[in-house]
Amino acid sequence: MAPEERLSEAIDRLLAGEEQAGRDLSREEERLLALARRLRSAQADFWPVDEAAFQRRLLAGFELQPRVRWRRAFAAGAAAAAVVAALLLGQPGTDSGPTVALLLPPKAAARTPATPTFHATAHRSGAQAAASFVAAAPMQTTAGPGAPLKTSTTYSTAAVVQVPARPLQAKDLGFGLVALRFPAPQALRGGLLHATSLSGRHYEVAAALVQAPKGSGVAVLQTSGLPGGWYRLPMDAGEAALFVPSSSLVARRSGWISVQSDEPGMPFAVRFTATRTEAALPIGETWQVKLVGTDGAEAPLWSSVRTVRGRRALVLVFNPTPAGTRSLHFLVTGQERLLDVP
Amino acid sequence: MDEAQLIGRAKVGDRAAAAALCEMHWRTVYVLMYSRVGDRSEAEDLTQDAFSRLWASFGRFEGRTIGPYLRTIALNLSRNRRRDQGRHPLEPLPDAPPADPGPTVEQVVETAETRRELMAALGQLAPEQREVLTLRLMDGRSVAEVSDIMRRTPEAVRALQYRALQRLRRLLLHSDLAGEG
Repeated sequence: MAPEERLSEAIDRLLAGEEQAGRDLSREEERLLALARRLRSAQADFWPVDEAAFQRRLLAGFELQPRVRWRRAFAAGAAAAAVVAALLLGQPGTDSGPTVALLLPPKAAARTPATPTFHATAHRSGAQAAASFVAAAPMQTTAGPGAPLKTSTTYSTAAVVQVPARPLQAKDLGFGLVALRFPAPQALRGGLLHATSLSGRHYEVAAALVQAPKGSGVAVLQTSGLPGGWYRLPMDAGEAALFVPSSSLVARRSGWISVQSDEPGMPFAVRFTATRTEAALPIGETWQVKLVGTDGAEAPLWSSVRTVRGRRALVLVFNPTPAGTRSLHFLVTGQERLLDVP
Repeated sequence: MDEAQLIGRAKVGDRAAAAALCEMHWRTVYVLMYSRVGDRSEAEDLTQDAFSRLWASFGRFEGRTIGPYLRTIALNLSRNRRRDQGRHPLEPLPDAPPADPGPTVEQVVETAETRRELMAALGQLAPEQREVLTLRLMDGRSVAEVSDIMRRTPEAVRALQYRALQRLRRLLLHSDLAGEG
């Protein structure tokens, strides 16, 4: 039997859990098998940490298919748009324009406070922030999956449009859906968008994945739940900001960054200012980040590199830091450090 | 229910069928992505991208199994990623000890160091070598299954596996991971 075959059979025995997997092997083959055993035992560092959550991510695109079909219909013409708008928003004949579908976890939808405020900023790839809008509106305090939510949207130009929105098939999807429509098709084309709620103590939503099909002028924003709820932004203090003077933070364009408060159930906002060269942080560059709750739940978020107060910054999360919080438990792809909020 | 039936059900919006397809194939895609990028986070992102593309074009898909189609998508994505990386070079961040230190800090750090070293060496292998080792040892696939996935003969898979472990051992010769124990 050839060495390759002998080793392969030994690996088969190893995979079957046999303790004597390495019998009848040469010294060299034994060494290779030992290495194989080490690799096998390193599985925990190989697979996604939370496979169930990861599979949900993979299914997100499937769950968005109705909206994909809707987008196509929408692009086909106004009549189709009206039909689809009726399907999505429950109000036929609303004005045209791109719609951002904001998916909310059912629990969040059920616990939405009376007056939540959405804040969203759209970015085009490779360009500075192209558009922003604030949607502030009364929502039903008892709104559960399937219940209507009323939202009004303020575009950055101060134009105001009424945006009816409601969770859609929340039970089936595992998410609620709020569709926000706003009149800036060119601003979202091919771009990315992230959105957060700035108010609502029990609002467990964060922006995550954005799909902006080329030319469609429509973006779909998928969100997933955050533990611990949201906290009102202390407006006088501005956004909570964390300036991290480590070059390692900005060395990667993509990848997960985990952020965690040292206080139970406290998500927070951080803002990284890069000390790296500009080339490492091109404006418009997008990062995918992940907010980790103290219960281990995670919320993937999108962020992007922007100029903040004249400085290049990686804006991660807009969720505010509760007043008085001085230190944050901070994980960068697993690297732990304690940092003070400036 | 066989895969063709699952595809049919998923096409009409059956989420459970889509979830079953996902369960059936995600590991293979993930392993392929990992073998190309050598990084868990990026492999996760690329796997998600691959499935996003699959679902986006799912209505037009007419095959009886999505495996080969997914693999094509995944390979295209990894090629695109290589191209993009040329424009924006990435620099991996160091991993860190687990948040919960367990028995003793020293043990945890040692284990983490060992694993990190091993995974780093794995990342230096050629993509096919990485793929065969991850399919076999991380995913626990048989030679026949790997042969099917990689479209190589079983003999070629065994040879590739052997060479991959040899190469890995050479990369780790300076450490105690080289297979002495």
